[in-house]
Amino acid sequence: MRYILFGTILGWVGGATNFPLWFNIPIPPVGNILLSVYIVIVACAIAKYRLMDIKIAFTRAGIFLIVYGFVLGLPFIVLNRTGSGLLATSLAVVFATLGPLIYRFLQKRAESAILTQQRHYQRILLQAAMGMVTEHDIGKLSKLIVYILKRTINLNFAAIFIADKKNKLYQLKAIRSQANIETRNISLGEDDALIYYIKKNREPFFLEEMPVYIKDSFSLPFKTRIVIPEFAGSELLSFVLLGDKVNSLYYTDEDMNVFKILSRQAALAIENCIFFEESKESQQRMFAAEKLASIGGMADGVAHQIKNRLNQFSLASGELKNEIDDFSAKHPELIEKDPELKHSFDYMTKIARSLIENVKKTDGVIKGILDFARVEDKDNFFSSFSLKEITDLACNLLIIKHETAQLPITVDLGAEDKVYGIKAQIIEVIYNMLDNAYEAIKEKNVRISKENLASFTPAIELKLTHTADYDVIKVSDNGIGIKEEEKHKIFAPFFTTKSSYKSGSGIGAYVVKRIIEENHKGKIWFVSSYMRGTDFFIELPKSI
Amino acid sequence: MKILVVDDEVEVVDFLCNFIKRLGLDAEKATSGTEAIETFSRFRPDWVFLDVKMPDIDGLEVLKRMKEIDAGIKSIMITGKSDEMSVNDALNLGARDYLIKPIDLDELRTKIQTYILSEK
Repeated sequence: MRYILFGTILGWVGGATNFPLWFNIPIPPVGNILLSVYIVIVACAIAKYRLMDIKIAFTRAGIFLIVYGFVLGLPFIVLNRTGSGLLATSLAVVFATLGPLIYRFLQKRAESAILTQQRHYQRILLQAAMGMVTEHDIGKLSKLIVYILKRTINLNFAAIFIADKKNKLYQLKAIRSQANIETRNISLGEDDALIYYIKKNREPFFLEEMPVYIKDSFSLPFKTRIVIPEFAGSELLSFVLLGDKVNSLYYTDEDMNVFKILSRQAALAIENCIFFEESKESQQRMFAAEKLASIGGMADGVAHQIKNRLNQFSLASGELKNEIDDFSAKHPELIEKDPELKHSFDYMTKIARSLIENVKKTDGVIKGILDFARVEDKDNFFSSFSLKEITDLACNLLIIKHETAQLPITVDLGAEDKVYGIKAQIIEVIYNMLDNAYEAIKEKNVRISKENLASFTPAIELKLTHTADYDVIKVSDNGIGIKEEEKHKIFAPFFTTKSSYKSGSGIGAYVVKRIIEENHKGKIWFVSSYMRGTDFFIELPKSI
Repeated sequence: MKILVVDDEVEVVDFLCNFIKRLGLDAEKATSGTEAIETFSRFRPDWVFLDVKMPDIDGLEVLKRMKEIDAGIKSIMITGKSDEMSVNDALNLGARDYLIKPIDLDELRTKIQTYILSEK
């Protein structure tokens, strides 16, 4: 403002050199050149304080011109008209005294009229910031933030990017704009130049301030003017992109201050959301684990009940068969004479046999679940045990889980099927690997084209071989395989291609790896080809 | 040969008694521990088929009390659990054998033939 004032005074002085001419005083109006100086100075000021609100500047200058034009001009006119130097001078003195007061009064009025609008939205922004902290859903919070920004500041658009740590990028979470912009899946990588600049800068900044090579490193379908980052400590949680103000006003210093405060509030709110979501997730995991544990506790009770029912079935169908047999034995002539009777009895015997068979199968299923749910102490230490027993158990459980009649699996254990390890953990490992193999095949069934579907014979193979010091278990499937870019993620914690609630009781590949490597001092690796299949290998030392 | 069948489920006892009668043996039933001990004193069986898990008195406890009345009583325990501990408990109490639920009547027939009918 000082520059403008100074420039304006200079301009007036320069302009005032014209006045002597009016009164035939021969002083050449050299001061006119000062007018150009005035313009240059004002231009520099605007350029330097780019944030200046032109409206304010012109308003102030305008009021200044009007007031001082009046203050200085009027005495001259009076002098001209009346020729009385005394009257003119006293008028000039009065106005000179009143001038600044009038100026300040008018200026305040004008500015508050213009600024009311702006101060109003700054107040709203800050109030909204407080309200943000109560929103717990990050999607809704994102939409709220961009809505508030766009509405109250009256912008072309406002967009917010939120950090996605798992995928190492910043995802466009919400955008509000005048035009309809296609915004699905717009994201910036963690290592992008723009992100790096934001992290280094830490404060809100104008896009123009960035080095050209960074500006050129990304392209977004909207013209960004300002970037406002939100940090939690050293971590960049999110950042907001703002477009131009709709009525082409410039952003002022005050705006930037408000943005700084806003960004801190937003960071708080976003951190809150993330924490809320994480605690919800870990609560859900805890509930799931507790539920599983309580089911395990119930297993014995439930099994007992079911066994009693099965006992009834077994005795009833056994007696049915016995009754028919005994009758047939006692009255052979009746049976011979009446072929229909014989047929009927034969059929009833068949029914009885089928009932007995199915009782035995059901019993097998229950035994499998019980064995899995019951953790006997001895199974938590190292021992030598039968891999066949484990594999049968795992297969039974998978048949139940996937509600299928049978698994497309061949098991080749060789002559010696004993392995050495922690039985309870190896059960988990084998179950997990066979489950993954089965899921891979299911996935392939979904993706494969119709022609190929007919010729696709799903196959899982579990093979046990031995070397001098190791037992090697190979689980192979001809399912969907693993994509190149995902291979390094397979053993990462929390990585899964299945929805976690469907998998329920399973452990992830990460835990499998830890069991094999840390607890058994073994090795686990895989070979895979996308759409062809996967081979997993586990090497267990024969002794530890 | 008299056999006392004890199980808290009526139908189970009925089926087992009928089955035993098919084999030409005499069978009596009881559906609780207390009833079993009462009937035992009256019926004086040679064998008892005892369900281990019953609501009022534990099957093993019933066997103990029966042994107090007749030390030479022979028994087959019927158990739902296949774990070693329950089975060993039964055998330690002097039971001759055990059956695991669900009972396979063919298996029971073999046991009866081995233990009981062969003694005739």
